[in-house]
Amino acid sequence: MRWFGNSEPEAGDDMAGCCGGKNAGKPISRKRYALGMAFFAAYHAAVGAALTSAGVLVPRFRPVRDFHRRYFLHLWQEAWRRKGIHLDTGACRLDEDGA
Amino acid sequence: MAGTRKKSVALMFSGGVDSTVAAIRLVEEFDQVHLLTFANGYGHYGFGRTRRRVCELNERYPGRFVHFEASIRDLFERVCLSTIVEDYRRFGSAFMWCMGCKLAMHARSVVYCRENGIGHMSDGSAADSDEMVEQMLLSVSMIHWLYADYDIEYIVPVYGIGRDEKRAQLRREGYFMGIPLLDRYLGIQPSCIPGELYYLPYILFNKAPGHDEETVARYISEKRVVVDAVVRELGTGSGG
Repeated sequence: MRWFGNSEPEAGDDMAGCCGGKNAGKPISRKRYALGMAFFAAYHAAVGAALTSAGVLVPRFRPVRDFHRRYFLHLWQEAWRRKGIHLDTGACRLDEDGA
Repeated sequence: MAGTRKKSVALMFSGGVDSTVAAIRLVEEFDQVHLLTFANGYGHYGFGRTRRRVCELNERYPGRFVHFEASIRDLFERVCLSTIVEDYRRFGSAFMWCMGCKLAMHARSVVYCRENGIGHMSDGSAADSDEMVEQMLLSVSMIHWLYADYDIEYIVPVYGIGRDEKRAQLRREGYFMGIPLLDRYLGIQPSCIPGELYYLPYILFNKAPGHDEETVARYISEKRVVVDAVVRELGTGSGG
């Protein structure tokens, strides 16, 4: 693989920090969480409704509809339980053991 | 053939910041840059934005770009959708939509390169977008080996260049930058509704996308078989 100019990864770069993105795990406000949940539900509901309608008329959309249903339910549960989501409570952070 | 190979490169092109800067860098090294734009037929829209960007490039570098647009719907259905419900159960994440789409695009790109005698392939993968499954270093490395098996050199011209530097270059050179919103610019490249849904928890909640290296590597390895079959059936290839 060829990199151009200064585009090559720097020494020490590795894949250890991958997969998250620079903002992953950063705390968000309660307001952002609430608005986010509303937007999240509305967007998925709109897509789900479109896919349900499309699935009736066009068979090729049926696996997409089924996939979306499973994905949305899974993700909604995770978001509802705040799995991987950190709310900024304004208090000092506690360690895992509560210390 | 050898002369052609050294003069041409293909670039997977959306018209976004990364692929535009990649195009500018490639045109400095190659005589002709083939810009490849693919639509998967499932919630992919806004391809007029790509065409506008191609016009901008052609104004600045007349005769140096060839734009090729194609549907990869059939390939995408075969690589990804035909098994998506089962794959979702097995892999436990929806990353396979984006990764499957990208693999279908790469399969079509391999075919394009071989049809046109192009020995270099490129895209706008960038380390600062490595939350995106197809731009993880692992994925980029595995895609490199895919092309290598077909005797095509895979180039990532902007991989380590920071987002700010790329944006500054485009602004300096007077390219259309779209509408700034948070950390992004809207309206400069096609949109993908399923892709937006996959990264929505990250954008809204800072929740890490649901994929890890081991799972992604397993998925790509499994789908290589399909990709190789597709390339063979489209009339080319000895790879895989």
